[in-house]
Amino acid sequence: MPRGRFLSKTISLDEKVNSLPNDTARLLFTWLIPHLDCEGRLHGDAQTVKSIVFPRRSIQTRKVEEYLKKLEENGLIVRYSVNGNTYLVAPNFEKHQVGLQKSKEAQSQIPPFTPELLQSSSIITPPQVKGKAKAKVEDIYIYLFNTWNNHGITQHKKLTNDMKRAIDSARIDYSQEDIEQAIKNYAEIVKSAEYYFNHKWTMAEFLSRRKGNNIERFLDLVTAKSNFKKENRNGAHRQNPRQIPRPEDYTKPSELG
Amino acid sequence: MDEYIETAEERKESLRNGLNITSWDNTFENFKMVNGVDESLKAFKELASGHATWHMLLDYGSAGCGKTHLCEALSIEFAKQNIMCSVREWSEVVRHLKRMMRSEIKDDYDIFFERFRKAPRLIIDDVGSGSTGSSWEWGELEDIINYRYKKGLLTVVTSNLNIKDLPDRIVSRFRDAVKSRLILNSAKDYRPLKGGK
Repeated sequence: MPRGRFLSKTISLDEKVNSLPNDTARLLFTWLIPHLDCEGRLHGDAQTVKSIVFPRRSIQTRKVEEYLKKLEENGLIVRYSVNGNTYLVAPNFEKHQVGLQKSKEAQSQIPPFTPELLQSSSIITPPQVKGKAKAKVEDIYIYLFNTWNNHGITQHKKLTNDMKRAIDSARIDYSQEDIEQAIKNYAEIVKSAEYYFNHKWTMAEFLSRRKGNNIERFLDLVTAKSNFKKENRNGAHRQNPRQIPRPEDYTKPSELG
Repeated sequence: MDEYIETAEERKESLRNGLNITSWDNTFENFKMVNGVDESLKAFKELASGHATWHMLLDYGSAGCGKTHLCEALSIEFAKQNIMCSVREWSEVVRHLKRMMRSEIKDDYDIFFERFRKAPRLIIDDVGSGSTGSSWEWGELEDIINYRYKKGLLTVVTSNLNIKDLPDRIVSRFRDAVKSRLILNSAKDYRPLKGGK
């Protein structure tokens, strides 16, 4: 990876850059450029972009995500998903990188963007596919809603806005497959007599953080089964963070051997 | 070009987010003194003063005993000294590490982990909450604690787990009488008493 990239002075006149909502969004785009690999690609999830581009700035991940969406809307980047990982690519990268010598650089480790990925991606919303992307997001809502109902945890009659918000919130950190897997694992555990965990959440409760990070809790079936097995219940406060010892039950430092 | 200038309020809000604190009111001055918190408060204040001769603190106790408030108060005190030290919830760190692990560029994980491990000051709140407590998680935490213990880096960890349920190798680092403090915050849950109820 070279130390940086070429920044053309035409950026000052670029309408797409100038029409971004504020200077922080413009800074995000400008500071993003030196981090692009030889194909103009980079990881595209807000958390990673924040840690790479703004390691010393106090900017909320939520804001970075908001600005990334603006960059997408303005056609400055395209985001796409491969195997649950989000990436971005700057479409005009090569045009602006005068003297770019790909042969002298390390090969890109980020999978290439293809139009098919655009179709299958759920997070990208460039103007030309906005309608399709929106339809895709709706499909995901319906798919996860049906997944939830099919597992017979709690039956919901209608897909509400609260559920959609919970799905959106879960999808910031997890792929659709992860969410589906966590729901499946949760259903298996909550319905089995082998496990002490039998509380049935609604879909919105399960996916939002209001009741803890349930996706993380149930994502890995082996771990979840081990944590919630009935015979492990005595030590459950260690695995199940919702059961905390009473103040008088704590061991004092002086009581340690 | 329209110059975007942050207002003082926005800057403060931005800083609050950066420090990952819930409120600027969570200061040492606003900390309610109840039975069982004295030793914890004293230790956190000592760290904030910069005069502590030790650098590792493990504060453990039940939910609502004020651990997070004290972490945030410490972060605020550091901010007053122009030192950025955010409060990191362990479950958030774990989730971020897992995301990095799924990343196809393996260096991402190492870069993040190293940056975290080598931070000049580190406040890890709520170990034991919201994560699964897998052996991998304990391994990573142990690695962080061990490194920081050896390098003399300021490290604060809070947990609602009993020390008997924490890995011995982690607890051991906090039992060093010279470098560390291991403190039980034995206060009861203060939250139900908020608002004078």
